[in-house]
Amino acid sequence: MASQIHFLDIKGKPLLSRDYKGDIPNNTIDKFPLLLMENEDQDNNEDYKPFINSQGINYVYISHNNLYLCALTKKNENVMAIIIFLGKLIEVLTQYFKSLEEESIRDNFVIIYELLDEMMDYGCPQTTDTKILKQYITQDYYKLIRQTSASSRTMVQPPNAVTNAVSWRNDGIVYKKNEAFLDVIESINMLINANGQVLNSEILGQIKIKSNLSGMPDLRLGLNDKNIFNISGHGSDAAESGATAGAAGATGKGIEMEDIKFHQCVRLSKFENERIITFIPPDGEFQLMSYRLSSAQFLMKPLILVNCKTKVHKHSRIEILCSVKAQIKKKSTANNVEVIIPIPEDADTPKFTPEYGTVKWYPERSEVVWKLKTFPGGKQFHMKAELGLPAVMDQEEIFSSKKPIKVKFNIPYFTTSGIQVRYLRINEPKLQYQSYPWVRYITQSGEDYTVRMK
Amino acid sequence: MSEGKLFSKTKASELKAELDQAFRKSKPQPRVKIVLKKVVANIILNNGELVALFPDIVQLMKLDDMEIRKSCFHYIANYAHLVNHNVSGEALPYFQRFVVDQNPVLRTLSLRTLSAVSSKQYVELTFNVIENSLQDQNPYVRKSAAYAVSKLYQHDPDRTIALQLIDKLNELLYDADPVVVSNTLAALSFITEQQQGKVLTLTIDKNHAMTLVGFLAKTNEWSQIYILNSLLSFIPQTQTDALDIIDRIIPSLQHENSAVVLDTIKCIIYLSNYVKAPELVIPTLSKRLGSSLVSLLSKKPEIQFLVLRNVILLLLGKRGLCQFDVELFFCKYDDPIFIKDTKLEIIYLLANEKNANVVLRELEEYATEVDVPMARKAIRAIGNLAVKLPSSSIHCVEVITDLISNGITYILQESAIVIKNILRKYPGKFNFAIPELLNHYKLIDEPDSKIAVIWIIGQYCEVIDKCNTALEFLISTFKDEPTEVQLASLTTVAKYYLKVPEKGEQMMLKVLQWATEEVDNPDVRDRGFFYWRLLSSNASAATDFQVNAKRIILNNDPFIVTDNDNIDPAILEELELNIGSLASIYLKPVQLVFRLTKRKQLTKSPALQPRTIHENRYGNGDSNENIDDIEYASSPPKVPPSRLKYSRDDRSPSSSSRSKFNISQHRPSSTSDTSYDNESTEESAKESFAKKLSRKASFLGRKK
Repeated sequence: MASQIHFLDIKGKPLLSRDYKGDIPNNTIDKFPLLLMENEDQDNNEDYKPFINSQGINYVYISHNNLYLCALTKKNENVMAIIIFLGKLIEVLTQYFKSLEEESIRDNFVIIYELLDEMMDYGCPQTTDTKILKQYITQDYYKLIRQTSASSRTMVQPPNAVTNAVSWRNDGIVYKKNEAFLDVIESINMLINANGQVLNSEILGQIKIKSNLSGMPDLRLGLNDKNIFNISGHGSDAAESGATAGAAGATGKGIEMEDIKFHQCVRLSKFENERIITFIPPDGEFQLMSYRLSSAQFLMKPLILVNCKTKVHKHSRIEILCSVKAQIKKKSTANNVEVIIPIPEDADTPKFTPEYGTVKWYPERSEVVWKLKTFPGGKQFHMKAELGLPAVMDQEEIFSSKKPIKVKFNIPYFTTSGIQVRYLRINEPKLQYQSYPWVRYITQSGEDYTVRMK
Repeated sequence: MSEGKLFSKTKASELKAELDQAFRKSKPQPRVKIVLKKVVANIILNNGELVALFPDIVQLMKLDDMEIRKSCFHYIANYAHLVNHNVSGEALPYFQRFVVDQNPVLRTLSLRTLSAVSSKQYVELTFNVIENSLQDQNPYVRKSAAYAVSKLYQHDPDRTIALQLIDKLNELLYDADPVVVSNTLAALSFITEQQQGKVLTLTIDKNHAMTLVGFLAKTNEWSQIYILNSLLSFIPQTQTDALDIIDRIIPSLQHENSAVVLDTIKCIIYLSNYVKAPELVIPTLSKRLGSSLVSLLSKKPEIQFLVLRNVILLLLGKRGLCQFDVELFFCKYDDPIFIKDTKLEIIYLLANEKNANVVLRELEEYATEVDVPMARKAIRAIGNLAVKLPSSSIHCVEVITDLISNGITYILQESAIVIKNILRKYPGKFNFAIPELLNHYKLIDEPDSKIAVIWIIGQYCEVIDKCNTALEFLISTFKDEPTEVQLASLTTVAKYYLKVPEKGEQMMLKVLQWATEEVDNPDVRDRGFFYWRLLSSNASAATDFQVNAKRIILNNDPFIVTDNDNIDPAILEELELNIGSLASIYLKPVQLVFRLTKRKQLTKSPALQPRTIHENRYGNGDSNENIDDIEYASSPPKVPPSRLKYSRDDRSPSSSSRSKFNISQHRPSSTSDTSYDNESTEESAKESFAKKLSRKASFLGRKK
């Protein structure tokens, strides 16, 4: 797929390169800085695209910590696979070196080459699982040699997992206490217009597992997903916790997930046919599944409703009147609520009078942030802010920015969708040990919980 | 130990000295390793001197140490083709030994290195050992050997075929290990996608396809991609064949790896071509495809962008197979511009009578945004919507006139063009928008917008109040305008004269004079003369005022239509077979971007369905009506793909000027729609003008 992979610094200067196919001249990448500049410096940035094609060569790149990872290809290749591979490459290298930046590349170039050799063959991605790679590509060779010094001929074997059916787990894992920790995390993205109307909203959920289990355990997860229960015949009482003012999710029948994506350990065909989630988990932490629910099904009221009015007195000051309401169950509490209100860049001399919580001005970001540590459901609070506007400015300009208000929050012990873990059965056929599953729920704001300003 | 310290340019002689020193110790390995790290660092730093070390490095391979050998391999892969073949040959005995070593890792690495070097002797040796490696007992080695065959094919295709290595590779497809099979498929795809020389194609029968699909659950994400890709080589002979496979791969839509998801979609779309009315056979399919794509929109921008481009592709060709809510594509404030662009295009494609209100409200929001290009595109999208959805057109026009009333320059420029299109589509229906626009005529300064306003005045001068002042103003800069504006102005003054002779005469004379005497451009001059002759020859005839000229000049333009689809279905078909590939970004005929790519098309089989034509065509009328950069037409691109833009230059020459060149195709308009209050004025105007005209004409004639 990819002909070459390059690591480049922020200016586009190559730090480390690997050629897999030899069908593109080595110095091609030297054009990258220039192309990058051209691509990003477009006056009318209408041309800007995340990928560059120049003289028959495609530059597929992503940036990370002041680095660029760039793959070159001449042919019409699967660009999605390439871009995902680059992302995984970052992930693996980060897990190897704690953080991936210019310096860590310089400090570990030998092992990076080894990894690149193992992760891709002739430009085709092979293995991108750090846990597996770590078994035979280690930073500490001395240790490895000592362990197997007697028979140094067979010191590094490709682990079975590379070509095994269960490519994500090795045999022989032992824990004294067998536990599995489940986290159900829902992130809410919502776009609310100035009148408090929800334009679009989605729930991005994920279930993370930290597995401390011995042997080759087979796990079975039961959820109150509507599809699962309708088919397997259990479906009856639904998640009442979902029946809040905000979430109209509790239709009495459990929840229907719109799209679920599973970790590769989950047996997809089993889920497709029987709606049962079964899997042999990788060791340690991983994301078992992610799901998405959109507003079509959950015509939600905003969980945290923000009402904000600004009044600009020309050339003198700006007044902000803001109210926040937690439209969640009375029993629930939202924690660490932050309302981030954009203000004109040259505002100064702030005066805040919050009814509750603290307000802080961040001039470098042109924002006022109102923090409310704990926010019981159903409550409403007000805040008044006044800032001076010294510069001569048109009213129009002030409002031309249109930056939306952002809201951050998290609500523990609560999922907006009402999803619930019914059971997690752990079965290790050979070892037959006692095991303990733990479950935790949390709802939080996603990256885009925004309220538009008028 | 940090390797950062070793990261500096070192002289080859120094490295050599260090190596010699290392060997004076009883255990040289640790020292050697440090030197080798320096060597690797110098490879990165592009140190040409290192070539001199070749014999020394080769010697190091006799040390039985994997780390040392790995570094040596790396060095050899980089430098073997630079030294003369006597020197590079020294390494070969080692490789000969390594490829049959006990350690599978060493076997693999040595084979990989050996096949990567393009020097003749190395290729030779690879040819000698490859057969053995393909039958290695260890799957890890077999899978590398498969790739080595494609490398050999790259070096020497004829010999690879002659030695029947491709057949051997084919045999590997029956390997017991799914990982070997999938990687063999990937290796084969390099060979089958080659365009030069002998063209090889892979075909898979039903049984094999089912086996492959069965492997999906047993392999890792990347292997799954290779398997899914290969399924495009399976040609379903019956509808059941296709449905069986679709059934088995649908679960892969739920894989966490976005590339697997997109490849699954590609596969399903491909197979659905062999199913009659797939959306009816699998009713949940459209929803599942839709939602599995949408959930990828929470990923990084680059991935989002790819997904969105492919959504466009699906909307254009396979609308029935994917279901989306338009709200999901509303732009977020922080979206990068390329995401917003693409989303806007999707919003336009998804807009219909039902969601028109929501869509319009959203577009209006964008139109007042700070980001000027975005705002302009939003306005254009509103205009296109008006043309596309007659029932919502009134609403669209209201939104636009609202926006105009703010008097913001860039909004005006864009609105002028948009209104021109709307007026053409619905003649006479939205005349109320004209005065709104003309209130701000002084602010309109971009050529395309000017053309639009000038055309509007020419077409509607009889219903506009102060059009004289406006037109006067617009033509005052005639001599400095670009050609298109001059042409449009000429036409408009001619129309204006014919409709309102008493006011238009002066202006018309002025413009004709400029056009014929002071403009260098032959087109403008010719058009000037053309009108002149036309209008003056008419005058001599004693019929109604300028009856012939009216018949020629005042006529209706052809209607703008949305249903005219100029996307070649063959192009769409090929793009659909390339979902997720680079071509899907450009949305252009694949061969235009990748000249050497093998053409992909659906293979005929009894089950292949004729391409259904949508009742709803979304390629918009004139190619210039597309709100973004897709050029579906088969004409060669004017710009290299990366710089493809939604450009104003390929926007049509204004409708008015274009109509002129197609005169013969137009219906002569009835003159009944233009009436004159005062016959006598008309008469006198006609006379005086005719006189001047003939004078002028004869003068010019004499000059010639």
